Amino acid sequence: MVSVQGKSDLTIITGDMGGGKTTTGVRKLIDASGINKFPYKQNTNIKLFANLHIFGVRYMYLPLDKLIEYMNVTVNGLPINHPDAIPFIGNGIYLYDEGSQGANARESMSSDTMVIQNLVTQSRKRKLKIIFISQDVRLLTWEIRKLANEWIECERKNKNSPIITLTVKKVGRNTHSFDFNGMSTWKYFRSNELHPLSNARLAKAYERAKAGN
Amino acid sequence: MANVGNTDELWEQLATQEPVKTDDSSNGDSYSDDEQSLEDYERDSPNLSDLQYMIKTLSPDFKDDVYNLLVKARLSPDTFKPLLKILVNDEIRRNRRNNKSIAKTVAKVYTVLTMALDGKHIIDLLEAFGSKADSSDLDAMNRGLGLGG
Repeated sequence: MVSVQGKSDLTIITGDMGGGKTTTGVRKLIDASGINKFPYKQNTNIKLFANLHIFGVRYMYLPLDKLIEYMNVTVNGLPINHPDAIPFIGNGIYLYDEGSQGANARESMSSDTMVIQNLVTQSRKRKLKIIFISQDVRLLTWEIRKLANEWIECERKNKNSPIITLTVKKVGRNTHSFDFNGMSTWKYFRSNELHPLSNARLAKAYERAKAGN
Repeated sequence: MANVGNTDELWEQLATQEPVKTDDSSNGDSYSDDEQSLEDYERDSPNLSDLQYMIKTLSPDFKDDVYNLLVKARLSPDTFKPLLKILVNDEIRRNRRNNKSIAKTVAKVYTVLTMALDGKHIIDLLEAFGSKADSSDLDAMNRGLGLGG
């Protein structure tokens, strides 16, 4: 685990396939919603966004294309660069699964990665906490790695057990390691949900492959 | 998280809520909601410094006084093989009734002895302490030079 030094409210969750990354990310979202704790009511002051489907909570499904669509939309109708503008994507938590799609280290100069970088670097102004999930931290673009203030490494020592071991590293805090039972979180998402490449990317790849044959 | 704007009209239109999935084969109490948040778990977990965490990771508890003592020993290479043989035989004899895996036993004893070989484990820990002290000195020096740290 590498040290974290960022100042943004940005969490990176890493781990092997089946290691409990998505479970941990969804659990953080559910914890923030308050529905799993007395009085079991969702906290409506925090907007929940996720690029995967979540069940049992009120949230907005926000894949990359939707994120780009609503990036500059404001709640109070003011232009996004107005000092009093309240961004629509803000005042909440955004769970971004498969962070290497959209924030890929090897595509750091692409237009979609730029959108994510803009979101991350100005997350404080949006009052937005962002949680990135990735199999390896090096798959994520440098800005995200640099700005993260929390790093969670997930591990399932026994693949037949729902117990997930987390090693949490936060800026200015000691490392914590603890286990939790992932089973109570599984009902809130589907572990096999795919995050496909866009049709435009597939079409481009198809054209290249076709030209090569 | 600060409360700004509360919920808005666009949010009301776009946010959705679907019932929790019920097609999972899991059942029983363990499937019910866990009221402790991850932050609660984190707060209750041991508050270890990075160095303590590293030492804890490097120094597993072998649940055996002899093994826990051995990893702190300085084992000479010529005693490695005989000791490996003695300890494996002893462990197998003691666990004959438990049907314990021989491979696991050999791996465990081998781990203990390689840690103890030439006092490597102790040297590793001392080096870690040393590097920690070095980095603290460097930090202090950087602060003195106004370089942060």
